[in-house]
Amino acid sequence: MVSLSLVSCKSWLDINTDPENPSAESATYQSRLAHIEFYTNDATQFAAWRSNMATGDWTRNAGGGTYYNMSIWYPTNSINTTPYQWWFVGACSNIDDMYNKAMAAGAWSYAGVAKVIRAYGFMLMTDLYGEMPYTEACGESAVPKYDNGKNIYIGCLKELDEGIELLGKTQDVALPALSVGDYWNGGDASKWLKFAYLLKARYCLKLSKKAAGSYLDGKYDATAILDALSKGPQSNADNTIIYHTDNNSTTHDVLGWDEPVDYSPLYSVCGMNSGYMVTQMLYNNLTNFAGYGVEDPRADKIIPWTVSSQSDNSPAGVKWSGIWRRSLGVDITTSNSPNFSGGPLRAEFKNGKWSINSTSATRLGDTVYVECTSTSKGYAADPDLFYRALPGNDASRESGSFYSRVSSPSYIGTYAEACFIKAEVLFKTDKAGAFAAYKAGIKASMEQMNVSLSAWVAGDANLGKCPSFTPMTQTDMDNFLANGIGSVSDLTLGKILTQKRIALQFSVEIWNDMRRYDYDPTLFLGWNTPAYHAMSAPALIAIPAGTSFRRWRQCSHELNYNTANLTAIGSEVPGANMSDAAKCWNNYDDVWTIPVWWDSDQE
Amino acid sequence: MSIKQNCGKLFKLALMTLAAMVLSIGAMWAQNSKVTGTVTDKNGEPLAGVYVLVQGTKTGTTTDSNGQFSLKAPGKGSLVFSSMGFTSNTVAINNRGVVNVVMQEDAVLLNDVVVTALGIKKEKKSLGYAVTDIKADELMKNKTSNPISSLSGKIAGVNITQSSGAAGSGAQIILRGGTSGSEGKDNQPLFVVDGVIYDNSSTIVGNSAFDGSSKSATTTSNRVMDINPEDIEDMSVLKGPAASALYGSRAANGVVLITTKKGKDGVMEININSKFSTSWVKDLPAIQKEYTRGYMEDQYDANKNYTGTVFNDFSYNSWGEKSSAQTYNNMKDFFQGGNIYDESASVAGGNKNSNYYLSGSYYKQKGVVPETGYNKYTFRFNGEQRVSIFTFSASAAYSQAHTDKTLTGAGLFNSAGTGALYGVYNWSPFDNMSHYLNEDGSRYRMFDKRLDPWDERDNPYWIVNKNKIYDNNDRFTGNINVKADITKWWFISYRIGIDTYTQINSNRIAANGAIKQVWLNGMMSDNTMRFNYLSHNIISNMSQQYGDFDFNLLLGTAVDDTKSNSDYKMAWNFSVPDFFSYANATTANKQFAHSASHKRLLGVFGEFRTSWRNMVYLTVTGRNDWTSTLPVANRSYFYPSASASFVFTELLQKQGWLSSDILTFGKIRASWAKVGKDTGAYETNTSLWPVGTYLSGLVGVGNTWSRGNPYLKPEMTKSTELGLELGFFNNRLHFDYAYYTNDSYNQILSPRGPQSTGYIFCSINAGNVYNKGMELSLSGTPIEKKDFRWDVALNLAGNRGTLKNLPNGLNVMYVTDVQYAGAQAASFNNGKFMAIAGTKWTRDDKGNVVLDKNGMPTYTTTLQEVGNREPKFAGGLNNTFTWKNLSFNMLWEFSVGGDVVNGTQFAMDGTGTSKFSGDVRNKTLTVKGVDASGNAVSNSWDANDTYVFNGVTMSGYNIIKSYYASYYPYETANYITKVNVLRLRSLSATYDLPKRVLDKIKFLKRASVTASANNILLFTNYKGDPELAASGAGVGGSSSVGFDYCGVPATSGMTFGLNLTF
Repeated sequence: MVSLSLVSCKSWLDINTDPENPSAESATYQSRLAHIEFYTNDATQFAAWRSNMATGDWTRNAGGGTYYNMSIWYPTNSINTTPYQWWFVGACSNIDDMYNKAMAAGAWSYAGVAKVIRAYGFMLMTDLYGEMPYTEACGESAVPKYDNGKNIYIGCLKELDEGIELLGKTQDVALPALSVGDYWNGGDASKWLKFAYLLKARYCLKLSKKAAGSYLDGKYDATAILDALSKGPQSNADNTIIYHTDNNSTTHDVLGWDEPVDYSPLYSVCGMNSGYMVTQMLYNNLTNFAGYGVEDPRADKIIPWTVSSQSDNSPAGVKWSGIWRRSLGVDITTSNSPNFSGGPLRAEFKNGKWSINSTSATRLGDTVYVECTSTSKGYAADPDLFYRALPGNDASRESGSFYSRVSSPSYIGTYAEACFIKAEVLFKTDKAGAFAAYKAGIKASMEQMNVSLSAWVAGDANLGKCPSFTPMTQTDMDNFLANGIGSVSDLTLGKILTQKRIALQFSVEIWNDMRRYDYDPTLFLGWNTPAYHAMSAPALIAIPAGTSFRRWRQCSHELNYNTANLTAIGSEVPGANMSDAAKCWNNYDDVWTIPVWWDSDQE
Repeated sequence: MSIKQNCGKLFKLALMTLAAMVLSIGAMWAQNSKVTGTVTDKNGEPLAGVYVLVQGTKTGTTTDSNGQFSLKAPGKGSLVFSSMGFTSNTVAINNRGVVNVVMQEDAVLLNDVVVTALGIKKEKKSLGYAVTDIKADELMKNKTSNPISSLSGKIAGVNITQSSGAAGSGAQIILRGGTSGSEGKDNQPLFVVDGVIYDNSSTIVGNSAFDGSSKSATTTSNRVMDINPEDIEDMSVLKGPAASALYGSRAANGVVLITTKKGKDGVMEININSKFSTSWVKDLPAIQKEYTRGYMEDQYDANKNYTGTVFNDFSYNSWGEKSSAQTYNNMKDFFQGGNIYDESASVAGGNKNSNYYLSGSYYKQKGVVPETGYNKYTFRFNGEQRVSIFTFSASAAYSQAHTDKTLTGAGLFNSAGTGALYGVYNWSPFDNMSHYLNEDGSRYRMFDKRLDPWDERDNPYWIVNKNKIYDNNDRFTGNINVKADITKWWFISYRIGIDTYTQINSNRIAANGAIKQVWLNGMMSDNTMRFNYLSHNIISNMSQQYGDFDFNLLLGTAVDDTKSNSDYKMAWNFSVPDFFSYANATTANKQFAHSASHKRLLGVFGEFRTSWRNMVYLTVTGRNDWTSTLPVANRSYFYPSASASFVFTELLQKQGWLSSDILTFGKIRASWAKVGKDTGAYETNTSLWPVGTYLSGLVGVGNTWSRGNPYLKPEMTKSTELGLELGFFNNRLHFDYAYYTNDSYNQILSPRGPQSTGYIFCSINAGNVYNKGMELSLSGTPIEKKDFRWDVALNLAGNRGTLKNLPNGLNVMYVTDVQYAGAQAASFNNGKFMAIAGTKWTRDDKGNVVLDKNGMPTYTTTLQEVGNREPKFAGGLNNTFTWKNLSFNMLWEFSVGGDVVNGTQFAMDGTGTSKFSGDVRNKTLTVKGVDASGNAVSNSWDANDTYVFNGVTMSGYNIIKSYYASYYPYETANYITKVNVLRLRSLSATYDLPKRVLDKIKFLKRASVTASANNILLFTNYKGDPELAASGAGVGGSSSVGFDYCGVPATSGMTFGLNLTF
């Protein structure tokens, strides 16, 4: 008792502060931004990859699991957690704190960026899932209520407007500069402002199914789009692009992937994995766009190559360049699709050459498809970016693809996209203006691509010997722009939308565009519903014949832990099956086919 | 009111009470002359608490802790000495001033003095709650390395689950169901060894996000295994909160008190104990040996016309062609015979004023999985010295344990089967599994280059021989205790205790394995946790008698300080192949992390006991805790308890209404208690992830995925208990019944919630866990002859645990580490606490399965409550036959009900290695149900025929395969068995060398030989041994009990032992 009375109880007990991990209150607003940017971008890129596996440009070898299934329109619950988790847990939980502290300090740039990213993230959520907690999300509630798609949409546009307003203000030079925390735009507030306007144009365009009116009422607002574009990116110099590195950063993500934060998220979900292949749709659009017979110089950069030796048996139509052979595209839309006979299979490198491990004669030709696998010097400790199917054997090299390498760029907002949005909006009223914008978009896309290609070859001259890495020549680009994309007179909306998806190769906007135009095969050149979908019983359960892929089911964390709120919002979702009180509408097998709010004519 | 003021007030109150007690004694003394004396047992051990009564009067006293008494009595009178557990003794004073008495034990009532909270021995009949204790000889009858396992089947309401048959794997103990639904909170009772709280966690240092270590991937020990079971004198189980309320916050799940041995007065003894055991795998799942590895591939021409089905060997699974080629007994050959060398020795002795006990032991176990084992060294010193009014005692124990383990299931980083045991169960019998190396010593790759190395399935022999997982533990525990007998009726004692250990978990992943691409050149990790616990206790105890009333007042304080520090380090991509060292990897290929936690607790408590004529007993306790882990406003909390018992036979017999020959003893008891519980360190704050460096070298921080809660309140458990104890025929037959309810409310949960909160886990106060149950034990001595005696004890208990009042929309609490076979350990809101979550086939109102257009069952993928792992009731039957010097013990255990998930079967059906999958694949499959419109449908498929399925012609074989691989498991119940078990846990025979032989061998005092068999008979409807916890002991929330997934199978064993005392 004597010993106790000597102790001051209060201070003796005041030890509940983690000595290792500072508490959330201690974080400064500028230190949160890089963390937020990383998780937001990964969430977006993962979602882009996953959604793009169902939009016709990519597929995987037969039996390739979740993403092979996506490419035949058999979506499963395996796709629907990661983007959600990375957005909410990685990014969103930090944004309000950053915003509040930045506002209190008068750090307008940080506050503006907070608002722009918040809008960007929640817009992704509503693109994927339709409804989501928004007003109560990342707040005090342990079971936040859902908002309908319209509330989220208008909320995001308002946050974007606030972000634009804040980014227009100059913050005191005595405060930490935006460059202390920002790597998306290197701390350049004016680029952020342009990016915010691009997003505004992007989001307003997405309301194309709605009646005309003010975007703030959830209507289609062509004036607002063109106004936003006039203040958005005006050249590639205004692009918001992350240039990833292969430095094998010692900081790894904390959400269980345990991968370096410097490298490209698309490398993580695609490049480092096996068996991803381009489809015939993408192949044709790149090699013979709209039947003009002029190969797009970007074809060599996007379609994977492998080291191979040509023989008399080599099929015609395969492109060779020295020791390198380019992949053909996998037909997934016609009755000739290898899906129908157990293919395509992944080629393996055996006894010094590529072969297919199958006894089926129809499968042996699958060596014409080259997977887009690549590797890394940093993390995987390989000698260069080429994947070698047989370690150490240069004859087994594969090139990978432009967008999915470890040091590929993440396109967040580009001038090219601004051009295509403009082209689409002008198309009905001003064909010449539309064509100019369309052409500028393609040109910008090619020129931007050369930035990364040049950087790769400058870093490792050996890469330049593979046609996948060599920068495109001005001649090829000029030739393509002159002869490969048509003219004002034959411009169609389909050409605009198809060139847009090539320029935005991995973006949720591709899926958004396809939903906006109801998967119209005349607008997305070469598109058709995957043929094998009609043969797959589970695929037909998820997306019954006659319906299409319109949303993602909520992930288990919402279905299991926020059931009551999720069930309740169903009453505001046309098409939600509310017949069984015991079963949440979102749990029905075909929930994947219910349009999200902006994808409908719902007021 | 500030905490400081609070503390001050309570201390003041305590001191004033002490002072009042001191002042009030003076009035006591009356006439007659003084008689003093010492009461001992037959071994000379002083007996405390013996009631000494001047015959024919109401004057009396009780002996103090040294067995001494003093009272005034007429010189010609007699003294009556009585104490539970001893026969009453009347001694004439004959004008002596000193009367020393040796009490004779009453064999039947031996157990009736029990160790209760704070180590205080109390008469069992005085207790208003259930306490059961087990003495050394009973514990040693089926000794294992784990003291917890020795309790199995012996006490009603004590639920022990051996987690697996692996060497060094832990056992889980749960008393009366779990109190916390949160997976972060262990529901096992508090362990207290010689008055000091003793950590019993089952931890893996390292984690799934760091180096891939997870509880579901390997086995763990529980830290009570650091105690040498031979050192234990007594284990006392305090089941309900009423029994344990004085221990405070950490005792809401009950307490197991362990008292270690002491030297005895005047006797010097050397004891040597040597045991040898062999063990073997009890039973293995049945496998099919008809179908090869590979699969049957349906072929089509370009027009989608079916052209036939051909065999393809490109698969690890066994859905290939029928074959009569050579097969291998891979599974049986993989497991080896285990053995144990268990040596211990002790020296003990003492005299009137001091005693000592010194022991050492060595335990070496070879596991049934090659390259696995468990070694343990222990040392202990216990000593005591009396000097005037002071008794000083100290004890110190040191242990070293080492476990070589293996991966069982896969770790987080590779679901394709890095687990050795997964590989064993699912390896094709047509492949020789022991062929895991090429002739040049490199890894044999079944598919050569057809798979990337990291996409392959590792051979189990490769894993156990090349990938090493082991842990090392060093532990020191000690305490120093000073007791001052200030007067006959008042003592004060002070104890300081420490418990400190270092646990190092290590992984060595060999180069060129199949785990992770980035580990292709090897990986190592060593993760160290240093645990440090320090406690101070001061207790003042006063007892006094006024007429027919006995009073006892105990006041005390406890101060706890608990720290842990963990260092994680790993390295990979070694420059020199197969050389594991941190120097052998570049900085970019190394990782380091650190975590620390510190909590403190101050408690002030009191207990007031009173009894009247040994007939009516009443106890009230109160405790207030101040914890560092709760918000300042809520960190002080008070909780009381009250219990009473009434020995009604005392009244009936005194009144002459009842003869003691039939109903010798009868007591009813009742208690009510509340216990508060604090939480883990730092849960009030949201903390930040370690600082990261992002692109362009920018520094970034972000919130962790657990949201802290600055408004947390203490968690509370309220319990009531009613009991009836009866002793018949001079206690030849004893009956004990208890009914209890437990309500844990304001639970501090950190449930997985919707991540739209911004977090994966959010700390909240919510939900109630209700437990109610009954316990019954019946024991007796049916036969008692001169040379032969039969003791039998039956115990039986059933608990019902439910979860209620979770926040709206939050329907279920899962246990992350426990998800196997499409099923998950879960507690459902308004449902069972020990539930199983799984999926179901869709059924119509009449229960018919709704079929799709192909005739296959439709299903929902949402997890629902599909089972309950809690048995209806469980218990044990313990028999001891003694014939002259030979004794024979037989312990049966049984349980009825309680679901078990057969994940091993699930895995083997999927991979096609199970006997079941072999039997069904060539049988006609008939699926009956209703179509979407409700019409009855029945479809059949024959393996050798073809059918149109989804518009395509398919072989019946592949349709049947797809039924069992895809549709069948969606009815999780297909892999759940409601299990009944009757198990012969142990059978042992001990022969004590007769006294006449010993007398000839002068130096030998006692000698015995023992032979025993463990776990040799099992009667159950389960395929395999259902006593399992796939993720090990110490998993919080609803635990991993009842999940069987590719673990190390249970073992049986034989033990031979020799025990010599000099």
